Amino acid sequence: MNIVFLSNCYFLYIDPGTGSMLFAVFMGIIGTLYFVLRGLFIKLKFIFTSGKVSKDNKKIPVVIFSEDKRYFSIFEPLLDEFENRKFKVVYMTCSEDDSVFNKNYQYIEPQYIGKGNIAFARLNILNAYVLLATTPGLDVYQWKRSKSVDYYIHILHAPNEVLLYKMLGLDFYDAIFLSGKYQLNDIRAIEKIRNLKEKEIEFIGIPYLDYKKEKLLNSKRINNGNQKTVLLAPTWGDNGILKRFGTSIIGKLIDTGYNIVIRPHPQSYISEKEMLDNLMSKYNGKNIEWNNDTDNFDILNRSDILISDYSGVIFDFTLVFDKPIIYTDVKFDNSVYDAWWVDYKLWSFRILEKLGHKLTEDNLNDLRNIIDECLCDEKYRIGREEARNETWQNMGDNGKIAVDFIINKYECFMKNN
Amino acid sequence: MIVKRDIKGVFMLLKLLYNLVIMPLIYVYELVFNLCYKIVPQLVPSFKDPILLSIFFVSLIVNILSLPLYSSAEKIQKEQKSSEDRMKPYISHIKKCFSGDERYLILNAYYKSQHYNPIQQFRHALPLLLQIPFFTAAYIFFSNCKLLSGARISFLPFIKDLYINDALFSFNNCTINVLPIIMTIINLFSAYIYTKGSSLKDRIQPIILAFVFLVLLYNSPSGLVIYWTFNNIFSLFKSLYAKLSFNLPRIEFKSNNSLMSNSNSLCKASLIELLILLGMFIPINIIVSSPSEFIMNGKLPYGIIFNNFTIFLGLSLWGYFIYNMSQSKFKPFLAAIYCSVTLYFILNHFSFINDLGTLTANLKYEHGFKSYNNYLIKKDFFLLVIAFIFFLVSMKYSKIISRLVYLIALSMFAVCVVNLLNIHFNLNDYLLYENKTKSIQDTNFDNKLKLSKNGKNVIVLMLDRSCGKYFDYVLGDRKEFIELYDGFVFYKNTVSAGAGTIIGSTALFGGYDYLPQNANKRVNTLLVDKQNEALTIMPYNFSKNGYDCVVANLPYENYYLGNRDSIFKDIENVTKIDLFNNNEKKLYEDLGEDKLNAIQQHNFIMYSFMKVAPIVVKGIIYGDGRYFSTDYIGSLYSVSWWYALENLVSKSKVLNDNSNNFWLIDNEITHNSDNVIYPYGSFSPVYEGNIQNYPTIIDGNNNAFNGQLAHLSTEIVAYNQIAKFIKYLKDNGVYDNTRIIITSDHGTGNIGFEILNTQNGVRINPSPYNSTLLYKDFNATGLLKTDYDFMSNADTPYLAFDNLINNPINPYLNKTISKSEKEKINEIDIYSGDKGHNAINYANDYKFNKYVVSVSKGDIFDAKNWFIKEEVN
Repeated sequence: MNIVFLSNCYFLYIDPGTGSMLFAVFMGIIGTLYFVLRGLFIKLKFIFTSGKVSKDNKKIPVVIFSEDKRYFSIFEPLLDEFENRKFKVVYMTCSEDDSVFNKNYQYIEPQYIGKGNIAFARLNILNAYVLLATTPGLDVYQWKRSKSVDYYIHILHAPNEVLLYKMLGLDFYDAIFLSGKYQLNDIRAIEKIRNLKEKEIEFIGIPYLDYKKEKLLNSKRINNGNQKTVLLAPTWGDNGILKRFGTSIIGKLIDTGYNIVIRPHPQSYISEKEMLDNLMSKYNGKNIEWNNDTDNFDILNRSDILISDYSGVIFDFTLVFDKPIIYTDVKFDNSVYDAWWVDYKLWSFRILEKLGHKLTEDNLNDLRNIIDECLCDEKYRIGREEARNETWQNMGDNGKIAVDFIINKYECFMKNN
Repeated sequence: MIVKRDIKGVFMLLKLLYNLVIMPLIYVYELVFNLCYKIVPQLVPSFKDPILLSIFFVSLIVNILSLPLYSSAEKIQKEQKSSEDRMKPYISHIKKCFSGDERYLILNAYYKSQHYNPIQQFRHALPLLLQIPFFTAAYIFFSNCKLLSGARISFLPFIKDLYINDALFSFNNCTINVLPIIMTIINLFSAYIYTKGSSLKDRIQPIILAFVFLVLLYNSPSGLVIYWTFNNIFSLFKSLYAKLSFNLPRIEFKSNNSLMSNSNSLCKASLIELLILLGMFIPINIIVSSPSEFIMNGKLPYGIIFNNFTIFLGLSLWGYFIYNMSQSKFKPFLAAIYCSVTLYFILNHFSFINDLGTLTANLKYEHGFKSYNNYLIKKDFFLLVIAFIFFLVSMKYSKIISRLVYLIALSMFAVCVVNLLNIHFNLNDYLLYENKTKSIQDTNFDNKLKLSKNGKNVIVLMLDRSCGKYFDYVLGDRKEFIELYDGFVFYKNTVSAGAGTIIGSTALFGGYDYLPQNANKRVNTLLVDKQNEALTIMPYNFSKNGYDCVVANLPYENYYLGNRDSIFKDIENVTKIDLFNNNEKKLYEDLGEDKLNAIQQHNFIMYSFMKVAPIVVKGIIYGDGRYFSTDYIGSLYSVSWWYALENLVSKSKVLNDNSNNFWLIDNEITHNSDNVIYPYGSFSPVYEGNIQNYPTIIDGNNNAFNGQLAHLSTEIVAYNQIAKFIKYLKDNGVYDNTRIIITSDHGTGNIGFEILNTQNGVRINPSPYNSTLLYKDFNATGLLKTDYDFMSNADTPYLAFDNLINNPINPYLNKTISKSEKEKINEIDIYSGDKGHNAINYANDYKFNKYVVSVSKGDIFDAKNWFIKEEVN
């Protein structure tokens, strides 16, 4: 009996059920093959752009990874605490001019690890017990969980939502430092929807805001009297105030007669440079201060009221500086964020109306009155208190809880090894 | 660059995969189909369509065997579909919101978070793909099933032949095949049930498939279409069951925890033991008894063992797959079933070892297959009861039982290894011997077989295992032999000293000094040396007296030990020729070596099945040695020996000179009890005589009678060919000056023989010791006479030398060969080999130790002449 080759497909005839299944599987296999090949192509691209990296010989106890120098303030309280405890930490940054290099830490070892795929290539083979980062998207994008890192902790770099990261941003972390109970509810809701393992949660407060608060307490309180200072600090992108309201809002602000400070988002200087240049030249000489300080402390301290969209600076201003805000009604497209996965209103949007007045195209002409109202109305002070209670637990901790948690984790894994 | 060797390697790998995956299933289908086809008419003689039922059962088996795979595939597919349905809206959203690499990365991360790997598609396809071999094997089986050819179905008269399409209607040279259409209708209905409630896309697929296969299968043989139709009906029932299953009562099986946790071990142990028993132990056991007999056209028998092993390995693997794919709650039961079946097979194999008769090299029982009787049925039933008890015990003590089975498997494997080594050493020696003899003996023997017209010709022809009493029946069937064997004397009352060649042939060639009762006294001479002496005595004497001697295919020269020289090297004028080997080679070329190998391998597989099958089924599988094969062509061995006899006519040369010639020839045609089926030629050797002419068999066993009939037909074929040679001698004017002695080393069978109650009360069957002796002297004429004088095949040298060689001597004993040695003894002591028939086993022995019985120099068919000597060691 000879071998029957596949050219004679009679023997493939089966019953309807099996035949259907085979057909479906066959189509699935085609799709899978394409998917696999695509993945290979992306992997190859990464390999060619990431350069050569070598693995650490010795396991590092704790690593803190900062994707950009602007995140130094997030980690600074923890670094100071590690330094106080004489606990060695390696701080890996993607910014050559990160502020960490200017601090004379004895126990904190700063390392510049390059940018983009070069940095990720280093991190992907990192050999450490614990890694702390504020960058979302671990094990989603090019930054992968290293087989030699035992534990990944995420720390928020905003005092509000966990759901405003791009989707799956926190899925592959082991633990998250939070500052409010509603954040825990959000995390658990996502875990339930996506059938994920529960992450460890530690309420550490907001250390960088603790620093800001302390700085505020130690600095001179500024009273502008009647000549209020209005700070316009929009975010960038299509939903940003400048893109949306354009020159009209600046004009209205000038009309108020108050001191106007415009502080565009750092990303705007990159992504919306042309628009900014036009605005700057148009309003050159007018009573407008364009602010791009690295540290926004002074400008927040000087300002009496903040006009912003859904930028995180709103919460810096209200929670720390205890001042009112005006916010714009943002048609927020949550498609790409974890927020899309839940069907309730986010805390940030719920709390906004308690923190300040909503600015729309309709009431733009009344901007002066709105500003005055916000400055005087008690309800906004009560709202700010409520917000602080909900989103800033363990106020004044300055990162001690966080550092305790990290060191405990390190000791636990070291014992097991 | 792919070289030929690499291509050959690839094909060998494919063949191996084919043997492992497809062939085991084909064998199972063959068994089911043929058993059903043979048993149904016996159980229900009025049932007119056993073929239809056979097709039905094959389809049933296919569907049952593949059911766990189907269920598993369906379960996995449902789980997968459920996962995919759950993920679908999210996946759609991700695809909508992201693009490029980011889309891939987020999708990939999402899959990872859901523990979903797209590559799992392949894993999920596995149970599905595993079903394909089942259906492939069925397709191949039915496509090659010759039983379908010409077969019809009584209630479907429009099907004229199951081997071709039905072509019910035809007009304008266009035929309509109805069966594929019926099959498609059932297919569509089944698809409708299967996809009820599904989306439009899911419903269209099987409908399209149904029509696609209607087109593809439209011209297929009717038998195949019927098989597929049955498949579709089963599928319909499966779909109906699946749809209604929530309404049907579920049968809950209870099993204990011990069995659940140990069922894997029990399953593996049982399947490993099955593999060793069927794939190694049984075939190796056959081959080790006489390895050289299983050499086919120079190919060593390792291929048989390897083939058996791979087929049964495949079967074991399938058993394991089915077990693994079964639902967890069924696994303990399946493991227990495997275990009890294994035990039954082991017990069956060892219980019926001696009950089936003696096996030949082509796996035929030489006395026919001893069918079952009440005793055997009871024995088998008892084994089944034990197996059932074992089934229950293994449910409770599966851990202990699995260890026991492993132990049995290990022991059996050890025996296989030892036997394999024995085969290896045996074959090594045989090949050494073969190579040595090939270099000496001439396969091109043209002009070597000389006969002279004016000198004297002496021909001694040994027909291995030709039985004297059978010659009576040969004459009864071919009455013309009485005249053709002009001048011959048939010494009916002839005995040999043993029932095997290793004992009986020595005295045939050497005379009375080489009967065991005399030869055993020479305690310092090895048996092999005594055999060699015997073989050389006649050539030595004839050569010394100026005869040109030709020896051909003499038995047990050097006991086939490869490290010895030719025994004729010091005797002048002796030419060794091989009348056999080239014939076999020619036959292989003519018939196709691949086909013959396939038949041999097939028969070995079926033999394994037969050896462990219930007694009532063994005979059906055996099927007179055909093992269900329609390609059976009989024994090439016997046909090759027939050619060897034919060579005496075609290759001999009659010389018009005064030379004297001596031929000493051994021919094995009568050794196997085969219905010699000659593939081409003018005569039909298959015996078709009237059995009423012959006495009924004492035990009334019809199957035994068939075996005797087979041997009888072989004897007829042999003597028919010798008759042609006799005619040739006569036609060439060399008959009168030729002395012919036809003898045999021992007898066989028990046709028409009574079992004798000897003096001591021991029951003896004389037929194995009743050798043939036919003698025609120079110038003898007249019708063939029967002589009742007591003779032995040890008389052969004397008859050869009588009045011809002056003072013939035994140069080793320095004795004259005469009648006196015969006169000195009063009886002949009969011995048996205690180490089987394999000569190498006796290579270091000096005597035959196993005395059996003695017969006085009287009528060997009279019980009173048989007795046991108490004083013989």
